[in-house]
Amino acid sequence: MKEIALFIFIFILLLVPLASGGEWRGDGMPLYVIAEGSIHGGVYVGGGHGLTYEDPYVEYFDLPGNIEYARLYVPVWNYNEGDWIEVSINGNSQGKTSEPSYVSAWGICDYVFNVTDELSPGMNTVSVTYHNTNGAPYSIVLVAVYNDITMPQTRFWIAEGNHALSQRSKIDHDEVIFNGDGGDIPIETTNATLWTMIIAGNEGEIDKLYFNSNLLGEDVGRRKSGAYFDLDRWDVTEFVDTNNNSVWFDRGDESYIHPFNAVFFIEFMEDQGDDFIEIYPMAKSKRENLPRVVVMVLVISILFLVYRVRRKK
Amino acid sequence: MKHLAILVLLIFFLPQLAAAELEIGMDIPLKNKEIYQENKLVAGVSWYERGQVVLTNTGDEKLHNILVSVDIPLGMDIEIPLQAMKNISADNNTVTAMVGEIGPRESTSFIFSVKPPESIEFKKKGSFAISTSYEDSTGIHSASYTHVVEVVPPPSWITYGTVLASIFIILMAFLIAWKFNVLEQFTTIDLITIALLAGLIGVVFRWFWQTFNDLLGPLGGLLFTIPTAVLMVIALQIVRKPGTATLLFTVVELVALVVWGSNITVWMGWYMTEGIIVDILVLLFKKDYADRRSTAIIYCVARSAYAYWMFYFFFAPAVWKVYYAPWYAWGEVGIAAIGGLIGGAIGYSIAKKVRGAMI
Repeated sequence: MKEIALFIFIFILLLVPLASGGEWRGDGMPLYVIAEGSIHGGVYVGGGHGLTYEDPYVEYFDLPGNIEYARLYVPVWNYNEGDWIEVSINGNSQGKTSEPSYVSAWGICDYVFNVTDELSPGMNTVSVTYHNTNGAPYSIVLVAVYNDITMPQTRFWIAEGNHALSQRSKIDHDEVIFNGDGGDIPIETTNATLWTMIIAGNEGEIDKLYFNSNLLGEDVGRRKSGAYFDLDRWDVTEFVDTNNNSVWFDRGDESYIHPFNAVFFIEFMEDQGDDFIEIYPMAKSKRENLPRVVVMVLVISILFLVYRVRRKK
Repeated sequence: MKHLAILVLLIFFLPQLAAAELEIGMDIPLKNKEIYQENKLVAGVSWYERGQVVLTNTGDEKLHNILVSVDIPLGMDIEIPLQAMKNISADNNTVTAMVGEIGPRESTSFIFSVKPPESIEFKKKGSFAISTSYEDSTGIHSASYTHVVEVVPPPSWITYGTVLASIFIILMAFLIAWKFNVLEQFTTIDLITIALLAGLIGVVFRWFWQTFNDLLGPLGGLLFTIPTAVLMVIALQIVRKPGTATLLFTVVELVALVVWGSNITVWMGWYMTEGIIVDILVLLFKKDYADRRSTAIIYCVARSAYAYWMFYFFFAPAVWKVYYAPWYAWGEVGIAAIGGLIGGAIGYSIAKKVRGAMI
């Protein structure tokens, strides 16, 4: 009996400190606007190509000149402490990064980089090498705002995050609102485009995507851009509101689905004030270390063991 | 005379032979070969699979004006991803690439994506026929290469069959349980014991494994197989009823379903088979409830190896449409068996003490 008690005691002692590096990473970060602005030019969004476990993982981006602001997203499966990625842009290493920007669920994470000054006009090669025993990048995605004075003025919003919509945590939707500052969007616009990036969607598990309550698609997260990766472009011109515009990710039947990005931009027919870019501080994911249910099961099991041993005596 | 003719032929063809120095290779799907099986495409996947053509100049002279065409089999849709090389196009069932030049001992490559067929009845072979023409100082030459892949049927209809089989297993389990009054043999205390051990496997050790499996690299699975084996042996020794293992692993999956939201309802029958195998072994060993170290090890090795075999050779292709490289998958099954061996040996000692303390 003493040996059993000792075994349980040692086990708990081992478990408690290790729990600080817990794998269930919580529900992650709901999407929020990291940057917005107006620019004579446009917004480039591109990337690929699904979970393939290639190392290095390489993606190409054919960019216009005059990049004013650019963010690079590297979603990765199975983050654990000690893992790292090393991003190289056109052969220039950006150094090893061990701390992802957003982590959720069972280690689905996103490494986000500001790469405004690293890109060149024309073809850019981005490669990622990584240390992650059982994981790998889902994709490399680039969002770049570029200046071109010959183009109409474009109002844009870039939202990022990593929200674990899951059956487990009963989180069924994520909504991001692109605030129009009290109606600075004119009624007449030429093109309104929404890009969405979703990780871990499954074909046949029907999720839904809405823009201003208009259904854009069902089963959007179905691994069509690569394994566990969906990057979609939507023409939402007919649904644009002059004030606030919202994107609503509905989990539907998906067990797990992670909205990662929503990038929205509207091309104006006439200029609406001066060009500007406003960048907001990055938010931090809330982390959940030791799930309560694990503690509960452990405690109940120990109580039961003690009860049965005492009952015998 | 005969030798002279051969010599003349050799002299005539030698420059041509020397010039034929463009080596062609192809990789598809473009995935980590240490994990995924090469040259196997799954029909019915929702994404495009990437393929890469690699051209290597094995000679000592620069090659120019290299034109490559790849005939895509089985009418697969084609996409050309953005890449460093330009001048790549797709037309109907052919990918065409114009490569400027390749220096001596240098390689170049380009990628294309194909969407495997939506549906095929049986697995079939498909051939990517690659032909090239190129120039060097001696003139225009050509080379060709055929890359064969196997396209396997979409798991969707295999999936339907396996779901039906899963339901059949559940029904059979219920039928046997009802016919032989199996559940009535379990006391309340037995059921609580099984539920708590299942909770430890499905909640505590599953979390523990998910959390720390990277620390052990490829041996990370041991963090789950060893405690599972230990707890299974404890369950067998304490409860000592036919059907204990089946009930244990059924409850493990139910717990995982509730706690972690695992979407396994339709596969429940297959998960039950982990326990069914152990219960059959118990009967074969004349109701030896892991009472000897040898039987404890046999049960645990069988369960662990079977569970991993199911994952890599059944669930992965049927549910997730992923074909793992055979050596990798068998390696994982082997590691699981080792986990079962260790867990069985440890579990026997712990279970004996727990049983002594409780009963």
